[in-house]
Amino acid sequence: MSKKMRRTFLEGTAMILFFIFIIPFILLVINSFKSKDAILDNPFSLSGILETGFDNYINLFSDSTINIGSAFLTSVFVTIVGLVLVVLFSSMAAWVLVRSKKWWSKIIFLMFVGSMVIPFQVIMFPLISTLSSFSKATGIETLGNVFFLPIAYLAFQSSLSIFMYHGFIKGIPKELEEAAMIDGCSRFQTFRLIILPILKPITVTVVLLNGIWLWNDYLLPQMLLLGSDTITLPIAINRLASQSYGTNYAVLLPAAVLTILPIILLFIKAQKHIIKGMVEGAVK
Amino acid sequence: MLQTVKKLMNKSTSFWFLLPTVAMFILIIIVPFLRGIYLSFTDWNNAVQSTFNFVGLDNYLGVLKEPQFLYSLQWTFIYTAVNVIVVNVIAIGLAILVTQKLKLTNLYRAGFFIPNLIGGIVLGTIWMFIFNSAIPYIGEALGNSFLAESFLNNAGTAKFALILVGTWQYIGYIMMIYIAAIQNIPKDLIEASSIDGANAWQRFRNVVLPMIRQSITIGTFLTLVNAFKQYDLNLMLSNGGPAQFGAGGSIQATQLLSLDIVKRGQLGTIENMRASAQSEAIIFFLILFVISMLQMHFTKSKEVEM
Repeated sequence: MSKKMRRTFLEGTAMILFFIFIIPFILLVINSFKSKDAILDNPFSLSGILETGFDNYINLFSDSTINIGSAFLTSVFVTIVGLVLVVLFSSMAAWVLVRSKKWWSKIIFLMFVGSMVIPFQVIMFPLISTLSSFSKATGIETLGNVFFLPIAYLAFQSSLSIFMYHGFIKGIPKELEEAAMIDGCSRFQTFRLIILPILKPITVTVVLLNGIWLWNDYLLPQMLLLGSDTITLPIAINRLASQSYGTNYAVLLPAAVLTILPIILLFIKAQKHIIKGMVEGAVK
Repeated sequence: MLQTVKKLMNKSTSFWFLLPTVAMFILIIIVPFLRGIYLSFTDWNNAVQSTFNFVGLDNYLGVLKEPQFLYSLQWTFIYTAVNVIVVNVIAIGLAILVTQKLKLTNLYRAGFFIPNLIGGIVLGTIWMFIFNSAIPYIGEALGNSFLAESFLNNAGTAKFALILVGTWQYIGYIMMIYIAAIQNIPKDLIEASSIDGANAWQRFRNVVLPMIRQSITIGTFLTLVNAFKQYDLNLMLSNGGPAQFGAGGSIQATQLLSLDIVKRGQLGTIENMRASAQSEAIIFFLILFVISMLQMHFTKSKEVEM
């Protein structure tokens, strides 16, 4: 085989595989713009797209049983507030754990890292009963309360985040902080003015990895928001599928597109960071 | 006054810095985890129950006689093994393909990688549509009765469907790990072997494969743990079904362990189902724990060799 033929062959193979991989997304987008009948009639046809237009999407927001618009906003709220809590508090904790040479700092760090092997299924049911006792004792609403969900994410995502910050902070020379303290900064000011800005590169990774996780997560919100009308997007999609809409793809598919869209936009903007963060996280 | 407050803050900042994360971590992870171990030895039934009777190993012995649990355990092992092999083999193949200086290499990589960024609930919805509508449409058009029937209606094809979607979702991520490894192979090493007359297969076998061994260990364990914990796709695609009738009565044919634990626990107050689900979850945890220990052992010992 000549070099040129080999090139063409490889390029062609890659192109074919690429299409096989993304066909599900192409079908998803096409059919999300078609009426229920048009989808059932022929899922591969483009006809019907112009007549239906954005009707499916408009109907989605006006559906009274499951309000996708409010689920979208709930997901945005949970993801953003969750990220702020995770970034702020796990970087603070990681900083203390790196700098403190006391006996307990190692134990706390090991507690966080060691817990990474605990699967959610082991915690799930006892968590519900622990939280219901906690709420009874303190009067703080935890179950069915959408404001508690980001706090729960602080706990669930802190292991990985502290681990990542810990590794990064170890490489920051201590002299910087000492100089700031000599200049009269309190430790909090030192953290805010000196450490936090230095942490920016690793914070980008922490935000991207946790953000994608929080946006997609189903089981934890499903457990904590049980019985609540405020639900996140994945819960809404699951309910749409299991309720009367079982086969009504004119509702399900646009809802899926709406959930995917923010992630795709994020990926287009931050492709390099996302891939680098995920690969490095794995290799460590 | 302000001075003293400042001094106090300064001395105890370590405490205040750690407090939010550690307190929430203990309340939400550590306490439920330890409580869960304890409750798996009791007659725990539901969330509001306040007194528990110790029943020893009863829940564990009970669950080990449960046909659905034994089936799900076995199916989870099969699903995981197939996943590990298929994902890693295809991921290595794709990684080699997209490191051949192709024109649109970034586009290909993005396409292979994207399913990994999207949650199982949404991917499950898309594939439900493909299995229930798109593929049967092709089957009918071709007059092929095998394709005309939804893959999700039949135990054998539903298992295949779950494996297909699960591997499709994960291949791109593992591919990225192999791409990083392949790019780290010194160029002259590959050139030298080409000059020595090695063909493509020999180059792969004798140069590439030994150089990415460490990454194969990482890729294998990542896939192993991920597949073993699969839940979202399983729930959305088939919810564990279809039912299959065998010696032990009705069995949910595609129900993986994660899903089995959740379903059993949600049965709630019927005959110690909560405690029984919890004991199942502890068994699930122990298996994952052993996998993690093996992973640490293998990744550490390889590092020493390097």
